[in-house]
Amino acid sequence: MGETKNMLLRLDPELADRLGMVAQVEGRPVSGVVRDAIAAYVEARRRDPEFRRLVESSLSRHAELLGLLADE
Amino acid sequence: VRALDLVDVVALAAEVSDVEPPKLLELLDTPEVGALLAEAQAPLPPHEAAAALLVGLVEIGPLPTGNRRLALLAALHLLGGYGLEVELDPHATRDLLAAVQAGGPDAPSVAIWLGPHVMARDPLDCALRDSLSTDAWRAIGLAVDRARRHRRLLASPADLLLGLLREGTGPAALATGADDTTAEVVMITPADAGFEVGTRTVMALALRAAVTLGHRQITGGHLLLGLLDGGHAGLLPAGVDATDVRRRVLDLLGLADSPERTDLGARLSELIRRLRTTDPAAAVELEEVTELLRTGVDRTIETVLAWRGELSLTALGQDEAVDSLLALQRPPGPVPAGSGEAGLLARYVADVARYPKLSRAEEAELFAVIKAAVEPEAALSERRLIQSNLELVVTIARGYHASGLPMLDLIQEGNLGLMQAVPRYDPTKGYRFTTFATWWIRNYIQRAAGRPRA
Repeated sequence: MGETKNMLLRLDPELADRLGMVAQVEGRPVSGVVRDAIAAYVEARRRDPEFRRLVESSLSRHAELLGLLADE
Repeated sequence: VRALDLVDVVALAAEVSDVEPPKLLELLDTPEVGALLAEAQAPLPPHEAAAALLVGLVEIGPLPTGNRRLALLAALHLLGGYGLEVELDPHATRDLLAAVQAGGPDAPSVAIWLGPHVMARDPLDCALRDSLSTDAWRAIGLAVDRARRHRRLLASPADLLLGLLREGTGPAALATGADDTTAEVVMITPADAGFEVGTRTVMALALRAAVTLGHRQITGGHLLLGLLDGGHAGLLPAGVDATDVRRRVLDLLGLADSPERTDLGARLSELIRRLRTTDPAAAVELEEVTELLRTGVDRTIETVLAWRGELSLTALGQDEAVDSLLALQRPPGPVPAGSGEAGLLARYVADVARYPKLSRAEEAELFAVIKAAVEPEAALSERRLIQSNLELVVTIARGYHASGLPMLDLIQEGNLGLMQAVPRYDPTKGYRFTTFATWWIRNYIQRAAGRPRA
């Protein structure tokens, strides 16, 4: 993993316990579980049919413009 | 469809960036981006909210790379949530975004630029805009207003039903026994309003009801039929029977089925059953004819619902939609004469109705003359094109009567839009001039309708 940043995460005690337990059962650091949870959450949004429909429409309708903006 | 939130922006960033989502969240979960998203959710016209998002994300530049692409996608996504699309010239837009990045145009300026490029994705919007009666306008305005007061961006079928009940004057209110006539008129245009998918389906069903019943306008009664047809009868107030409501709506719409008509299906079945014993061939034929009639009605419905398909200026299908809407809107009889604005309007409408409509071939011929730029023929051709489309302006302007502007002012603005359309039309693109002009007319009228009045 490249550069990382420390974050303070405030959770209610019950959720923090469950997070700790998941990490322990899976034998991974808590931060790894949090990262995966975030990635899964974002991925779920990306797979949402309505989100997909709007994104695909934007990507195809404005492909040339997005291509022109790729040089940033 | 939902309001744009931080997860949407992170998910959009993941579309244009190789950075991992947790890192993207970290980059985007900032007070600046948060304030921007809050601003985009405020009750602004969609193109203004999109412009604020576009400019804000370019200025903040939260990502190491790809900020302009993210800003564009986010603005398009926000507009898409309202059922709106944008036609953009790639090079001009690239230059504009570069200027924004260099500290050039601000959000209000970009909103002014963006406005004319925004169009409704769904022809249903156009159909509704042009065909809603006053009570339906009020009901939809109240539904959107209710959604906003409850901090929801999109109006639900329940909001629509409550809008119909509160509206208090149309067939829907009368059929459900609602007598709240104190409902205020809310100025709103469909372009400003967001509807849940279920609500949009209800509106499509209302349009279907109007077309199949042979009506020229979509009233609150049709919207109520749409709610019932869309499976929302459960939303009706306790003690109100859906079958009774449907009967009363049809009654108020002047279409109550007579006992003879109600029994038509049963009588037909009985006739076929009797024929089977005496003349089986005739029974089969009668069944076939009955089926053909049913198919005919279904096809009509399919045609109307097909308007909900993809719409763009290059979609030839839109010509048909515009023509069909014109047919829906044509006044039923001779226009009344009189004094005051109503009289002036009636005379104007009668005047412009006299100009003959142009065929596609005639249109092409006139544009060829304009292109040749030989005077006075070019000017005469331009005038003929404008005159033959003045009725289209009236039709579109009628959809904006709820804006509060006098109808003649709306028509005047629409005529300015029509005049702008003539020199900008490119016949080689393949779509009809009416299709192109509709956009310009609507845009000018919308701008006038949304402009603060002195």
